[in-house]
Amino acid sequence: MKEDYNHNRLNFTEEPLFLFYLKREVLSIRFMICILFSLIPLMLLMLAWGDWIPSSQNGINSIFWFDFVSYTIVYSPFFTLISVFITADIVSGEFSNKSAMILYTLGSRSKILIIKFLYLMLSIFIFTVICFISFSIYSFFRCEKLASVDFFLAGFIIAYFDLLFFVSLTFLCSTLIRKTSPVFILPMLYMFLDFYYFFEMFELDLLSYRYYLLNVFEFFSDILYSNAIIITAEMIINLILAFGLPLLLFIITIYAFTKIDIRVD
Amino acid sequence: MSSFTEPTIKIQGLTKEYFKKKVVDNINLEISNSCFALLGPNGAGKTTTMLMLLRLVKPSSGTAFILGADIKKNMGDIRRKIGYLPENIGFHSRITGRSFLELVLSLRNKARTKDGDVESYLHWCGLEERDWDKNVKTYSRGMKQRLGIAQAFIGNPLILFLDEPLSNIDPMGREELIKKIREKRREGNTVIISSHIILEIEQLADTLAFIDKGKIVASGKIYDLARSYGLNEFEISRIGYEKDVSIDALKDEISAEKDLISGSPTLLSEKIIFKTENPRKVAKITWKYEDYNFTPISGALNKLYKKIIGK
Repeated sequence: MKEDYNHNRLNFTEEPLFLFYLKREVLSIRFMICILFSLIPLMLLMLAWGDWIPSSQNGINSIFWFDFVSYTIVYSPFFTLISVFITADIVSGEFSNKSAMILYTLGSRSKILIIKFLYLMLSIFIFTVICFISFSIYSFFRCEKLASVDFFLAGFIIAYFDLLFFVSLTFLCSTLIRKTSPVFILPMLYMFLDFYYFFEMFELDLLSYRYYLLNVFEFFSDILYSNAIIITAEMIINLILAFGLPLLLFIITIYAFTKIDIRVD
Repeated sequence: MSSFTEPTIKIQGLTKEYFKKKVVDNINLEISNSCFALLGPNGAGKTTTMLMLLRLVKPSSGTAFILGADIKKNMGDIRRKIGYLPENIGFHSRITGRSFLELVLSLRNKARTKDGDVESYLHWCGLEERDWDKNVKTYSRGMKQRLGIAQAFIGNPLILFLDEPLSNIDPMGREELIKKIREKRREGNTVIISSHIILEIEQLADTLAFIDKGKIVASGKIYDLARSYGLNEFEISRIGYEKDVSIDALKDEISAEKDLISGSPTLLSEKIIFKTENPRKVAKITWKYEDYNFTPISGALNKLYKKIIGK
């Protein structure tokens, strides 16, 4: 009997659980609504574009880089709200309706969280891809040009990590609080403080994720427009924090979740 | 059945404190292959004890060994051998009974599963075939409880933890499920039940621990406990009609044993009631027959509960 189990343990995989969560998320009405909403900023951009048709590659790159990536995604709370909306009940919802799969599978806590985070990353990826593709389709029909690949990739990375940070923050709250309504409130509170310059007003820039992200945006702007890579110690720290904070939040989430008690009384 | 010589579960000094208040206080128990029940009033610490054994709740101190492995170090090895029915059962929306069991089975030990397990467990738990592919959201509470029981047993785990397993089930269904859980027990599974419903325990468990205010106040075989508290009336009741001897033949068999029962046993249509000072020997005889169940006389556990918990 012991051999049975040892043999089986080697073959054990949580793949069905990952596919179960992914299917549920991607086919959910909520996700469909988010995808539809992802087109709204594009519509706003279309209105702002007006009758002006950029004829040069630089023109379309500028619209993509400054209007779309910077003002529509990074400076706007809209996408952040969507990412909070996608993530908020990811763990807390399971505890609220007492359906947490960890109770039935008794699986490893960290594995279950990794599965959930992976499918969140994938969901956000799909969401960002659709958003960027829709911009490309529009720009192609509008002026028969697409943004250059280097602009596109840099913009995608910035937008993706912007969303990933708020996903990680909401994920942490969802895991630790396990009640959906406060999970919405905390990341949104942080988001509004960040967007409305609260941290800047009180010289607390170091607490602002957007501060790091905008520095990264400037870093990429320098590379894309003047081919100049300006590396300073401060920039390295900004880069590390902008790309590392989502991961750090996720590691904290896993650590905390392995330490807390799980019960659905 | 099991190749392990040590107890299936060995609990050593298990303690859980919340804000310096001990909700489980230094529990020491050994549970061998049996149907074991934790019985106690609400808030006694039954569920917390069970959750600590499952490592869903971290003990403040102490540990436990399941099939010889320390839960603090080897939970990864242990968890595939365990089935668990939580007290408050819930399911994801947009999932059918069948797909839920398929998912749970896919995450269980594949060496102990067979093709057609999902259908056989849906049938086993008493869900009607027409409900198998319906959304669980449309199920009644009893149907959800049955599905919960099926998910605990599917994949044939060695140890089952059932928290209030028969709540929400109607009386007929309760009888049917008690019989099925007993069958599983006979097949070699160790079943741990937490409940405050005495009737449920009386019919299911052969060993129990009374827990009150986080402490084990008495534990052992039910008949040993009954006898040690001066309750020496027992009954053998018929619970099946499949293959065993007639109730008359069984009565004759135990009556023939020298000095086993005092006085002459009373034979009712489905029961033999008698007094004995050696319930262990009667249990040994009765264990051979799957259609019969040996317990202290109906109501004795209730008296025992009042004597131990109510004192």
